[in-house]
Amino acid sequence: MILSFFLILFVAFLILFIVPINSKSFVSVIISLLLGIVSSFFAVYVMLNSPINYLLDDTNVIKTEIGIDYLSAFFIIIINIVVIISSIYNIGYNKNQSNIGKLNLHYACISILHFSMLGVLVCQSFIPFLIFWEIVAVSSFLLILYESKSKEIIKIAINYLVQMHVCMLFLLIGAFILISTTGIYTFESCKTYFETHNNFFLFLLFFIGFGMKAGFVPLHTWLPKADPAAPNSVAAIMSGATIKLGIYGILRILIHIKTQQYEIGMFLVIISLITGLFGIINAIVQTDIKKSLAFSSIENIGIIGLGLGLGFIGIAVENYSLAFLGLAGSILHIFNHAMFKSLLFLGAGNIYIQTGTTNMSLLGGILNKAKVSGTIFLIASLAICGLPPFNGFVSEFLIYDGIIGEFNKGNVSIDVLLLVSLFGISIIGGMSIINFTRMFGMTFLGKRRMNLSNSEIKEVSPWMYIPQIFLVLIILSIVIFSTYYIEYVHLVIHQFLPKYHVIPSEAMAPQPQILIVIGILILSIMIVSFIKHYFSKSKIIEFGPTWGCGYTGETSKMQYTPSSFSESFENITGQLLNTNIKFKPIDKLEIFPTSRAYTKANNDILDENFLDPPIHYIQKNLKLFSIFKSGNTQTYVWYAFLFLLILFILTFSEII
Amino acid sequence: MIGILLTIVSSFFFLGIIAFTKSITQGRKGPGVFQPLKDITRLFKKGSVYSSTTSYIFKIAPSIYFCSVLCALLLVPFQSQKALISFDGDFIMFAYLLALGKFFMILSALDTGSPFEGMGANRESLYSMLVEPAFFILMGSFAMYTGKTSFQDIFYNFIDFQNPTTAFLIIIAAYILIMIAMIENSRLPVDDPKTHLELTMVHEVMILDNSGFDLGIIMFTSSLKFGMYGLLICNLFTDSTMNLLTQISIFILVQVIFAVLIGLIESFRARERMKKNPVFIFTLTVLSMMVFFGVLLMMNKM
Repeated sequence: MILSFFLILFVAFLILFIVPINSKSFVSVIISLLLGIVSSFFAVYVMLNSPINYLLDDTNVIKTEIGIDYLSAFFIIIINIVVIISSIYNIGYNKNQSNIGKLNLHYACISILHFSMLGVLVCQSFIPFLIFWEIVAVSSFLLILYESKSKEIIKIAINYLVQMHVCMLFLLIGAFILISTTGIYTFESCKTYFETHNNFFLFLLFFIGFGMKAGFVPLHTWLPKADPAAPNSVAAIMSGATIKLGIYGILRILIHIKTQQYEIGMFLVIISLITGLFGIINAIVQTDIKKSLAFSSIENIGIIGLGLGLGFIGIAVENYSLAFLGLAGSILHIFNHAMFKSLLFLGAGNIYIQTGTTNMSLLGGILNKAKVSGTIFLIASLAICGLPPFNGFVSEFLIYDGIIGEFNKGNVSIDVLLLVSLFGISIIGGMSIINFTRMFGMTFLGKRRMNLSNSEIKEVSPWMYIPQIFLVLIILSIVIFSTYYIEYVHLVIHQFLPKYHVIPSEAMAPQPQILIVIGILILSIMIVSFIKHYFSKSKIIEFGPTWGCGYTGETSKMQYTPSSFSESFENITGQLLNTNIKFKPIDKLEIFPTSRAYTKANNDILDENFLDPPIHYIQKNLKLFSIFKSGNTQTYVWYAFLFLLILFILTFSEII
Repeated sequence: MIGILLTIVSSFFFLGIIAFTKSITQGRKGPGVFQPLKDITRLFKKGSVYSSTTSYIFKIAPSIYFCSVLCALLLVPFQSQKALISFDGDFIMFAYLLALGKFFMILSALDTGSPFEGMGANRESLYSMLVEPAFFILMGSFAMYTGKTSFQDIFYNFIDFQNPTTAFLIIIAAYILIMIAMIENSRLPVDDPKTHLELTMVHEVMILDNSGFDLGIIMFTSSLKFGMYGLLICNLFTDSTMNLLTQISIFILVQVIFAVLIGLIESFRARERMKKNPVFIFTLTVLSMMVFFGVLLMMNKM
C-alpha cells in the first residue's frame, strides 16, 4: 500500500512538468495535499493512540528506522498546514508568472521540500535523517533563487547554502561521535551516550548545528537575508516550517538528555534571551516588511527557547509545574508562531501583489482599498504581539505563569534567573508592540507615501485570501479550544519528563477564565459600538481633511515614516545596531545648496563583526594557494607526477 | 463588585479634583469638581468630524480602548471583596488588556496620516514598552512574597505594616504604581496634557482628530484608568481584617490624596525633557528590581 502511494506521488510529480502553465499550481496543491493527508493521518493516529515504529532495513549498513512519536507527529501537523496553505496561496500568487521553466522548478522544489521535511521528521536513524536534512537545504536554496533578478539574490542564496553546510558539518561530527562510541545508528544512541558520558560538549555541537537552522543568535545571519530574497509563499514556508526543523532537532536531542539538565536549561535561557532581544531590536529598525518579519522570527525563536530552557530548569530542580508550563508554552508557541508568521508572510505577499514593493517607506493607506487583506494582517499582528483575544497570548501566558508561579519555591540563583527572564520577556513583548504598530500603521494606514507604478490598489484574488482566512480560523481555534491544545501538547511534553505526570492545575485552571474575560471584552466592544451608533444616529457626521494644526498644504510625504517612527527607539538602542547613514551635511559656506540624497540602512551588527572577519581571514590565507593554479595542463601533470613520486618515496622508505 | 462601582464613581470626580487643586494653588477659584464630567457628557451629545484619510480602525479604536480598561478593571479586587474574575496569573492578562487598548490607540493615531499624531504614537509606544517590565517585576516580587499569583490572593495575603522593612517596600511599590499610572495616563513628569504646542505632547496629540462621542469616551477612559490604579494602590494600604466601611473610607482617602498629589505635581514642576523620559521611565524598572531584592532579603533567601 505504501509502495502504491509513492507510485501515485511520483506520477503526480511527473504530471507537474507536463500540464499547461495554468494548471501547474493545482497539481502542486494536489501533491502537497496527497503528502499532507497521508502523513497527517499517521500523525493523528499517533496522537490518538501510541507512537509507531517500523524498522525498514536491518541488514544493511545504513540502518533505517522509520518512526513517528508524539514529537514528530506534532511537527508533521505544523508543516502540513503551512505547506498546504502556501501551495493554495501560490495559485493566486503566481497567476501572472509566465516563465514555464521557472515555474516547473519552483513547484517541483516545493514538493521536494515538503517531502524531505516530512522525511526529516519520520527518520529516526542518523544517516537517512541527514540525507533528508541535506535535501531540505538544497531545495530551499533553489526556491530562494526563484526571483533571481539580481546578483544580490544569488549571493544570498549561496550564503544560505554555505551556512547550511556548516550546520551539516556540525551535525555530522555529532552523529559520528555518537555512532562511533555507542554503535547505535538511531537517535536512541543519545540516550546511551548521555547516560555514560557527562558531556555538555556534544549537546553544544548539536545545538550549533540545529540552532543554525532555527536562527539562534549569533547563528542567525542567513535568516534575515534569505527570507526577504525568497518569494512570499516560500518565505512563509521557510519561516513557518523550515526553521522549526531546527527546534525539532534540538528537542529530539533534549528528549534523551537526563543529566546536566540544569546547565543546559541555564544555557538555553541565556542564549534565548539574547536571541529574542537581538531579533526584536533589529526588527524595529528595518524598513522592509519581509526583513522585519524575518528578524521577528528570530525573536520568536528566542521566546520558544526561553520556554524550553525554563522547562528544563524545572525538570532539573524537580518542579514539575514550572517544567510543564515552560515546555507547554514553548511547544504551543512553536505551533502559534508557525500559524501567524506564515500568515504575515502571505500578507506581505498580498502587499507585494498590490503595490509591487514591500518597502514600508513607500507604502500607506492600503486598508481603505483592501479591507480583507488589511484585516487579516491586523489579526496576525495582534496575535504575534501576544495580545488577547488571539493565540499568541495563550502560549506567552503559559510561559509568564511558569515564571511567576516559581518565584516562591526556588533558591536565589533560580529567582535571579527568573527575574532576568521576566524582564526579558516583558520588554520583548513591549518591543513587538512597537514593531507591529509600526509595520501595520505604516503599510496599511494613512496615505500612500509614494506611488511608483501609478496603479490603483485592488483587493487580491480570493485564491489568495481564502487560505489566509483558514489560518485565521486556526488562530481563533487555539484561543477557544486552548484546553484541548494543551492536552495534545502534554502528550509531546511527557516524553521529556522522567515519568508520566498529569497536567498541573496551574496550566488548565486559568484557561476558561481567560475565555470569559475575552468574551466580556468582545461583548462590551459590541455594546459600546451599538451605543455609539445610537448616540450618533441623530447627530451630524462630517468628513474633512486631517487636522494639520492650521496648515492646509499637507501632502502624503509629510506623514511620519518608518524611520522616523523608530528614531527615538534607535537613540536608546543605538549601540546594538549597525546604522549606515549616507548624507553630506550642508556646509556653512554653501550658500546655494545642491540637491542631495539621504539614505539609511540598518545592517546586522553580528554579520559584519562576528561572521565576516573569520571568513575574510580564511579567504586571505586560501589565496596563498592560488600560485598553484597556473592554468597550464603541463603544470598539472607535473603536480600529479610529483605526488606519485612523493608517495613512492614514502612507501619505499616505509613511512606510510 | 463594590470595588468596580466605587472606581467608576470615583473616576467621575478624579479629573475634577486635579483641576480644582491646580486652580487653588494658582490662586484661582477654578471650575467645580464636576466640570470634567460635564465636558464628557457634552461631548457625548455632539456630532463628529472624521478625517477622510481614516479607515474603520479610527472609528473602532476608542471603543476598544475603553472596553480593554473596563475588562482589566474586572480583574482587580477590592481587598476582602473578591474581584469579579480571578485566576492564577490574572495580572498578566491585566497588563496585556491595557496593551491591547494602547495598540489600537497607536494605530488610530497613525490612521489619520498626520505627522503630529505619528510623533505622539511613536512616543506612546516607546514609553509603554519601557514601563512594561516595571509592572511585571513589581507584581512578580509580590507573587514571590505571598506565594500567590493572582491579584486577589496577593492582596489578600499581603499586609504586615508592623514590620518597618515591609512598610518601606510598600511605599516604594506605591511610588512605582503612581508613576506607572502617570505614564499610562500621560501626565507629568513624562507628558503635560496642558501644553499648547503639539510637538511637545504625547497622548493629547494622538487624539487631535477625535471628536464627539469618541473623544468623550477617550477622556472617560483616561479618568477610569486613574481610578483603577487608585484602586490598586488602595489595596496596598488596606488589610483584609478591616471592616468594609474602613476599607471604603481608605479607598476614598487614597483616591483624593492621589488626585491632589497629581494636581500639586502639575502645579509645581515642569515636564521632563523628551530625551530624558526613557531614562526616567527605565528607573522605575530598577526601582522595582530593588523591591524584588528587598523581598528576597525579607524571605531570608539572601
